[in-house]
Amino acid sequence: MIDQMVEALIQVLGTILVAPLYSGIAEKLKGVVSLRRAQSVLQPYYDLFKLLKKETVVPSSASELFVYGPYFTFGVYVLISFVIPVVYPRPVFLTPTVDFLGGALLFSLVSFVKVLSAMDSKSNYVALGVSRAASFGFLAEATLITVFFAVAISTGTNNPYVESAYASNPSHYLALDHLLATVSFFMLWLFETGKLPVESQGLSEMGMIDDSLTYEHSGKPLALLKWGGYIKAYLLGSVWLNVFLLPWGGQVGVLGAFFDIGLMFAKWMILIAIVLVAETSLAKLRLFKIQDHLAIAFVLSVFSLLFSVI
Amino acid sequence: MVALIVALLILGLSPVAALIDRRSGYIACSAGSAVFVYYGMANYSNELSLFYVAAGLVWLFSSVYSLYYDHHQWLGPLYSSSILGMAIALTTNNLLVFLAGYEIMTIPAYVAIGLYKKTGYSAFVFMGFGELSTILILAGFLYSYVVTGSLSFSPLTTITPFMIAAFGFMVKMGMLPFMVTEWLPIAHGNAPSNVSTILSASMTLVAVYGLTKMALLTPRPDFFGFILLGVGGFSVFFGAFYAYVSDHAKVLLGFSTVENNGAILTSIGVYLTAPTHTLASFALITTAVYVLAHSLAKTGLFLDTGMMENESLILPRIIKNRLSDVGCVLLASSMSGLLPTVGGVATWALLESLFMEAYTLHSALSIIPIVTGSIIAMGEGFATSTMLKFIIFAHIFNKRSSNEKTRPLILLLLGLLILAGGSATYIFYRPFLASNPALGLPFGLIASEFSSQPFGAISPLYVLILPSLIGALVLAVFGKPRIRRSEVWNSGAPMNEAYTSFAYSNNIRLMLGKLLLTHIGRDGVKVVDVFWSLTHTVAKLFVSFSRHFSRTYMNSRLSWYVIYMILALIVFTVVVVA
Amino acid sequence: MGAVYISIVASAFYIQGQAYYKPLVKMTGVQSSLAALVSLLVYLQSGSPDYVFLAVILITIRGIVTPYILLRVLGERYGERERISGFASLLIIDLAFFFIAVFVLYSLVITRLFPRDFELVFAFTIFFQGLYLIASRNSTPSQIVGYLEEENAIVILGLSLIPIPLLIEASVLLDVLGLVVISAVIIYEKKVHTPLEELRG
Repeated sequence: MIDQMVEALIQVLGTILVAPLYSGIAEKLKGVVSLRRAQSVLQPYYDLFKLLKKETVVPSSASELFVYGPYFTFGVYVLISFVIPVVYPRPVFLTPTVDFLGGALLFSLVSFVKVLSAMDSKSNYVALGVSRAASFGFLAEATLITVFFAVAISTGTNNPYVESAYASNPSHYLALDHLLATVSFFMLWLFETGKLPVESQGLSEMGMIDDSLTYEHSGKPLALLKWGGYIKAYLLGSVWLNVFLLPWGGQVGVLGAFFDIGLMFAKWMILIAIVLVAETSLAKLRLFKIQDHLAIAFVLSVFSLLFSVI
Repeated sequence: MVALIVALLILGLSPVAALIDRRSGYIACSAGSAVFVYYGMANYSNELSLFYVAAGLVWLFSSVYSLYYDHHQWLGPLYSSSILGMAIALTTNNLLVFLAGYEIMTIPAYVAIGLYKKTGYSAFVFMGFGELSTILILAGFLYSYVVTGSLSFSPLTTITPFMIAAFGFMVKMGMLPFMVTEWLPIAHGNAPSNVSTILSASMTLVAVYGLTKMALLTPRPDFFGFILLGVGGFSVFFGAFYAYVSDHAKVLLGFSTVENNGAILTSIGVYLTAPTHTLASFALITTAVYVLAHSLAKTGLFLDTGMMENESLILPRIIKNRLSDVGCVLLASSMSGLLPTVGGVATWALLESLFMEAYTLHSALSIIPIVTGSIIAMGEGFATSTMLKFIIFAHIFNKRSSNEKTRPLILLLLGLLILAGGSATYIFYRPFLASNPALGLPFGLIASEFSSQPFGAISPLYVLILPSLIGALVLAVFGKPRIRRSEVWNSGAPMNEAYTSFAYSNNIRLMLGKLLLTHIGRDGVKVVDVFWSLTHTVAKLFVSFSRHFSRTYMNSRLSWYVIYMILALIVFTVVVVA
Repeated sequence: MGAVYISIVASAFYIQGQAYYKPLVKMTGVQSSLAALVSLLVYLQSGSPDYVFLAVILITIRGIVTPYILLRVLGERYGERERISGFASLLIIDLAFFFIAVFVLYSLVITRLFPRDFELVFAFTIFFQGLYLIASRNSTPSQIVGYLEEENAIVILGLSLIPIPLLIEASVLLDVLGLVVISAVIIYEKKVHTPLEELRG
């Protein structure tokens, strides 16, 4: 049991501390591709430290939900990092708290609390962004749930670790349902993390969907929200890498846990490369076209479910 | 047993008491409901007892709420009689007494809607569909009597009685395409919110109870369950979808009831078609837990609309209070299917059972559970967005506040009950408990199983505790934020110009315009409930046809009447002699 | 006897095709007299004097008095007729109806009940003919004539089936009460039956 606790600690700390790094690397590489001098790789860390030191400006009509909501969402993200195979390839301490579907429902819980906390500021820009996010919520949540089940039906269990081991078998890996689920999850990941072609970064109101939820926060809550965003990108991306795209290479044991952090770094480089191609060559979709993007992802995931039984 | 008799006696006396004095009627109702809850908990024998607990809690909370709610003089007796009818229907084992209770439940509600109606036909629509459902249930019960020869609920050998009765119950539950029975009486009927509560939460509970009871008696597995799966799945989607685009608080909640009933129907369908016994048992417990989650949360939300002065979410005028805010956020999170509330556990269990069934069938038939599961996932997405809309525009986005204490306290209690109930659901899942002490989970783990191996597992208790602990830890590590208050920037416009709930869902109105028949006219964007307009068209066609037919047939010409006489004579002679 | 029956049927067809009121009513008188003749023939066969009484009643009341009253009520104008178009088609429909209804009914039903009496077919003919007359006409006199035909048919039918005292009593009742009083009233009130809007639907 002590071993599992240590491994769990390594997995969680690895997630929390390393997640902003990937965003920094992606930005740096984007700058390199665009032939400009980009920010440093550690810029997200500098941003977080700066925000942690700043004061928190709260709208006069907001309540404690606005201030303390981000703490709860951060807590849920940390809980999710216990549960899914983001670093270590075997179940660790507190892994059975929820299974794969429960993980999807926890992501839903986070967005619920985040939206409520943001709307507590009673700002109209936040309302605009929330309405956009909510109008795609049905397809996004549906795709998240169905894609998490995609491998479950082939293996007969909803335990993500078993599914990861199952997918490392080449004959299962190359099956049509697995490939479809991989593509579908990637398209969903682009939406969930607010990457082009779905959303453009920055605070311009035309493109805001997810960014608007952090519009009114400042100081420590904003730091936790941004950090939570990095962790969410890391969690979903790592699930994609470890269960769908590259389910190989995980080592066990306490030393293996340290090795796995480095392995995740290598896998993430591949993901960042793919994202780089997407972000530097695609333009932002018009708002109603995002429905088409998500609908394709949903249909692909449903097909993957159907092909796993037929 | 004694508790049951006491409960029924008190509930039976409450209409009489309500006629004498309004408040004593509600107090009697609350007392009877409390005894009913005790009866359900003390005699917990199978999943059906959970229905008693859920129903009793609904009545208890709404009766206590009604004490502080000013209204019309006749409401008390009608309300209490309806509850009495429900209590009779829930606790009897005789087919005819069940039907009697069913009717006693419907008729006072019809009168209550008729007393307060805004449009002329809302009470009539309610009664019309109510009687349709009664006729179908009666037919099913008659068939059951023919098959089994006894007037009580007894095990059946064929599925036909269940099929006929199931259609009757589905009409009452507001399944596709009869969704109009849910939202029309509530919206156009303009009933006060405690009547809306028992219309939505409790009456559909009785219908589900009847359906479950009949399902327990039919031989399984059977193909008819797949039809229930399909109808339930589509009801979930369309219910959540129409809820999302409505701006009338009660219509939103009415459609949300349709959605939840669809999920419950799907769960019963899984029970009927499950290939293994374990899966069937899991589906049955899921049904009961879902009913509990829906009843409690829907009660709370409807009682919340009682505190709104008008029912529109576009310009809401609601009495805002910190306690009711917290309570309603918890209730809304349960209706959205989020852990760690009861609703979250129920949603998780439903999706798990659907995909477990797809795995165990592992043939072309699995398409049905898979497609149903995907549609329900979409419906859950809509449900989350809908509940967000309700909570935001009813509570969070507006600024009026008041010091009223008792009614918000009731809502807060309901919310806490739902939150605690989520962690306590492992009591109901007794055959499915698991534990994993090696990984730090010695108790409180619910596992979904279709055979001896678990498919997935969840622990709502840990989901409740851990994020709060971690959040507190983070707070301790980074320190409390230094707060300074300031005004929100609204581009220079006055602060009272706000983003409305209509605009919130306008994206979907336009994106899914083909489904809603969105029409952009002079007075804005209008959507229709296609099923209601279809029903309306069919009804108008029928009325015009019958008018034409009667004018043609009875055309006051003597010649034709003599021809009818000749024909009758010939037919009579031939029939009698031959 | 067969010749009498056939002439009764022929008179019925004549009535069907007649639009003018006076010949209509007069032929009804002729038909009633023929029915009385049948009764006399039955008397000759059976020997019971009651049949003579029946014949006398038939001739006096139905053969003479009733047509006289009807003619008085209708007025003495020459050439008054009912407005009908399409006699030929009515006659063809009548023939079709006659064959289908009567012969089908007879062959299916009556032969099982009363296999020996062939004369019943004539009675049924006149009965249905009277009904058809009412169905195909709009004016009150024609409809009353149709009613008279039905009465004749009942009498002929009853000659072989019902005990004779009852037959006499029934015949008298139908004649005096139902016919004379009411028909005089009706013809005064309504000459033509048109559909009443209040009675529709």
